[in-house]
Amino acid sequence: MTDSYKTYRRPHDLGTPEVTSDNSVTLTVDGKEVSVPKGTKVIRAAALAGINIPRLCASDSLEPFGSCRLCLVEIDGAKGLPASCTTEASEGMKVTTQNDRLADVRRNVMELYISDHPLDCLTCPTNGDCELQDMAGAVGLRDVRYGYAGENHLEAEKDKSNPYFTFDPSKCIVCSRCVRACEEVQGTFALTIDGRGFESKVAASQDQSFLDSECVSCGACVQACPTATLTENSLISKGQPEHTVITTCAYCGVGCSFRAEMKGEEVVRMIPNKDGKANHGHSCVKGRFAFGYATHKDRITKPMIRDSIHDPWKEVSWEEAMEFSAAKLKGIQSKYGTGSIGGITSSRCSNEETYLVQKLVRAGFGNNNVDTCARVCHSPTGYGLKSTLGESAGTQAFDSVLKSDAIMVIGANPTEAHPVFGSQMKRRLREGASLIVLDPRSIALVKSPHVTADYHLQLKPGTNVALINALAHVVLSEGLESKAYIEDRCEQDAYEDWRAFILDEINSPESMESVTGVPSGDIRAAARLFAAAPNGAIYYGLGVSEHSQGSTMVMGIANLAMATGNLGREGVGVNPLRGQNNVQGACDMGSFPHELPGYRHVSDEVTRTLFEKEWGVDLIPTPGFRIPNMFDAAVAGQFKGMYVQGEDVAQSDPDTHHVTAALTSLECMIVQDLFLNETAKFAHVFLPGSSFLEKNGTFTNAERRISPVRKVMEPLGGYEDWEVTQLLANAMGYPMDYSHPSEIMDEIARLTPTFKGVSYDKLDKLGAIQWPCNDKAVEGTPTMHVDEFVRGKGLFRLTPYVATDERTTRKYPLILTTGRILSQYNVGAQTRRTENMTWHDEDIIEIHPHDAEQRGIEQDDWVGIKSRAGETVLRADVTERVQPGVVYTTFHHPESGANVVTTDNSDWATNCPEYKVTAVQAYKVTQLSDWQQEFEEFTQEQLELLKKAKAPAQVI
Amino acid sequence: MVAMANQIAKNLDYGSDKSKAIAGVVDHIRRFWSPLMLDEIAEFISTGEAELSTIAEQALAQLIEERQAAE
Repeated sequence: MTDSYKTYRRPHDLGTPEVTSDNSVTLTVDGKEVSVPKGTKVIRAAALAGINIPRLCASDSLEPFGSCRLCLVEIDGAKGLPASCTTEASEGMKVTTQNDRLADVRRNVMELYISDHPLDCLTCPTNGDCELQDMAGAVGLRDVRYGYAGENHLEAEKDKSNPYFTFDPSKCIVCSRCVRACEEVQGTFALTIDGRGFESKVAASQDQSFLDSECVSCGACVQACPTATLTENSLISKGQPEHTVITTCAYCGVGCSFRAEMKGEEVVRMIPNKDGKANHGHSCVKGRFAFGYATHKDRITKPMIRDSIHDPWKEVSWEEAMEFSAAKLKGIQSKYGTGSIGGITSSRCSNEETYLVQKLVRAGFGNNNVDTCARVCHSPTGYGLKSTLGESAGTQAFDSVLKSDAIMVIGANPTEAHPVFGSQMKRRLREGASLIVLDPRSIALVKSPHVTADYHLQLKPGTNVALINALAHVVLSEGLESKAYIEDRCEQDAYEDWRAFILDEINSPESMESVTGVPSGDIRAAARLFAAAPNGAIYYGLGVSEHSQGSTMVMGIANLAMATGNLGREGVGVNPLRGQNNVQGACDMGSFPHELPGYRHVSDEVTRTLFEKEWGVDLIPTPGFRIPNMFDAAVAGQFKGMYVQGEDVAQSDPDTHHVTAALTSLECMIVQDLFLNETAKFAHVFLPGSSFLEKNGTFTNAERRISPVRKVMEPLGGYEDWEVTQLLANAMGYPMDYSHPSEIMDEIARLTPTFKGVSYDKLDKLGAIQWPCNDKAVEGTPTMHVDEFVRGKGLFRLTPYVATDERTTRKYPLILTTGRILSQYNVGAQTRRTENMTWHDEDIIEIHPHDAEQRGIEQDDWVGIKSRAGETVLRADVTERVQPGVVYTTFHHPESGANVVTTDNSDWATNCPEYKVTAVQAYKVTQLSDWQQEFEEFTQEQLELLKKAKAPAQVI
Repeated sequence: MVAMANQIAKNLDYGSDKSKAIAGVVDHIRRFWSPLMLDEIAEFISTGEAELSTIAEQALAQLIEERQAAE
């Protein structure tokens, strides 16, 4: 590891965005000749020649604006002093950036700025990192001739409403960088310049506080501000950082690259990395601001053990915890058999850590009972894409969307769940790409500033397959398919079978209208729009996978993409938006019970032999238990021990009553986590986990991009997560002796063809790598299936619509569907321990006004939600975001009990739970449900038992 | 597990070729189910209480026979 990413410096800004062109122009700047792509602005051309022109309103992350008048230059033959940020470089142009005349003008401009700016530099939070201060120095400002007594904004009141940043308008120079960042980078349009002339000021929404406005707190404005007008509160309280480490965000599948700006081992702020290939310098409220959980007082930093879940916890040494764990697990295996224990890998942990857990299970436990939380989110993606295209992964890089002409978003809510990619998609939509949304809810993309969906196919929950078949029916029946592509790239027999199936009248939009609830005319129009686009791309989320036909729907999506020739180049593709930061990686690393790393089935003898040689053990050739199978077997008394790293199945998995019954029946539950999460309340061993700030490793995002995670502080518990797994393996008698995660990655590369070329050295050199990375693609593969599919020819799979067994009845007349919200992440264990609680401190139930009125439910009333699985109580939000007959909630807070209501229904192929369809009744209530009251009592009991673990230390 | 087997059969049962559907179910269960699950469903089937669809029943019979032969 080199120190190149450890020094603190503000990234060099070239003034205006990069321009791509086949043609270049050559100009001279201060006597230096430089060639740049045609269309490049003079300020950028100068910067590329190593000449920095003073500027305040210009930035290479924003379109030129030309308001500050500092970047003026002289151009031979041109009148006056043009702004270099708005003037295009041209062939033969001769530019002068510094002379006495320009210096005078710039000094005069700065004088005017400073005449209405506080002179408190020594006590200003951005002292040492202020562009205004830098420019004052650059132009040699020594005096302000106008004095400071005139009319000014120096007494303007600060807005401290946002918990993460402060708006101090007294320091504003009205450069509009914040407004433009909100528009161009984030795409929210929450900020504006209110008033004219001297009255001009930055305003949020209708001159509201930032918190009350439409601001989504992404922080792009804060990052863009050249002064201390918008400043992170952490910077205000801690001062300037002294070093920076480039690392990768641990929230969501976008996998943003960040510069962790540090003071010693303390994070001062997280700044999205401009060179980050997934995020290009942008971030969301979670990644940029919500890192405080890593040092939250709830962190448990000492191992704990207990014999029963009703016993007090006892803090012990790591050695004792490992001896206790190994003895318990071995005892269970000798009593109940080798297959009576298993493990769950974490999609929040690194590739190296998940690899090691599955290795421990397969080689150390001697079975294949390993699974991961992808079971409950994207396992159908793995199944569906592998069987049609040949690889269990999305086909594109995020940047591909910038070349899309028609974008189809199915069961995904990018602006909430993948916000940085959502912003990139909105940018393309503002440029004119068409948008088709398939979603039961009116997600923000359907209508938001400067973005309106061409078609919102608001289908009934559970009818995805019917709709995708109807779309394909239109494509084929109207002759809109890409015949040459299909002939060249796909298996013909399978295509003919699929064609005959799809053309059956049963799949026509008219036949499916009553099933889906979508007007046939809209289906036809949307299909025509998508098929006619030169580049059509499909993005989908858990609204596709978390259904009884999740896998069928993924295959249906792949079928549609193949039929329209939309795979194998930029701008197109099938793009699963992965939920957690390393879901893709956890799957790649062999976390599924039937697959070794690289998606190779355990029955494949050649692959198994490879691993047996490397690991020194015989491996089982048959699949192990999936998570739901583990729970079923636990309830049946056949499964008795689990090692769970960084997952919270007690909160995240469906049918809480069943999960709880399974967990309480275990004789040894080992939980490795940052906090005493819901699952840990059922544990006998707690092993302190380490946050992403405390370890080295890699995450793989939704575009298959492997990005480095770098340690910026020592693990609070003393060990990185991979080291804890290693301790457990050794205690179990299976030796592991890695000294650094790079050695684990080297082993992965040795054993996994798609990772063959991956190493930490290469990651340091390239920044990130998209797999496959091997001899054919030395620097990785941004776009898959370019000349042929991974499986050779693409395989059309038949996708008959089979209605879910979960249907509405007179007893349960509504459909509950679940989702995510921007400010919270998954089970909320991290974000609930940050100021993000400001935006979402409880889960609520959305209900349509019609359904609410029928039940006498008003806004904010307590509403009982009851299914055949269970009952919970949530507060009501009466809204037209949901359609009549559908209610919606999130599951970020454990006491909400959303999964008390969800059932054991699951995808036929992968057992991915059907979170998106639960038949329920809703009714007005005045108190919490029985489950919630029991939950509260159990939680109190467990917190008391936790306090007792620390009691001796407190007495001393 | 009976419900799971029936669901797999229902999703793989298209067209008139039932033997193809049975083969599909056999292949799917072989690839994704733990043999311990097969043992458990075999035991349940032997009680005569398993309400399996024809395709699921035939597929499971084949798999159980294979498993017993292997032992």
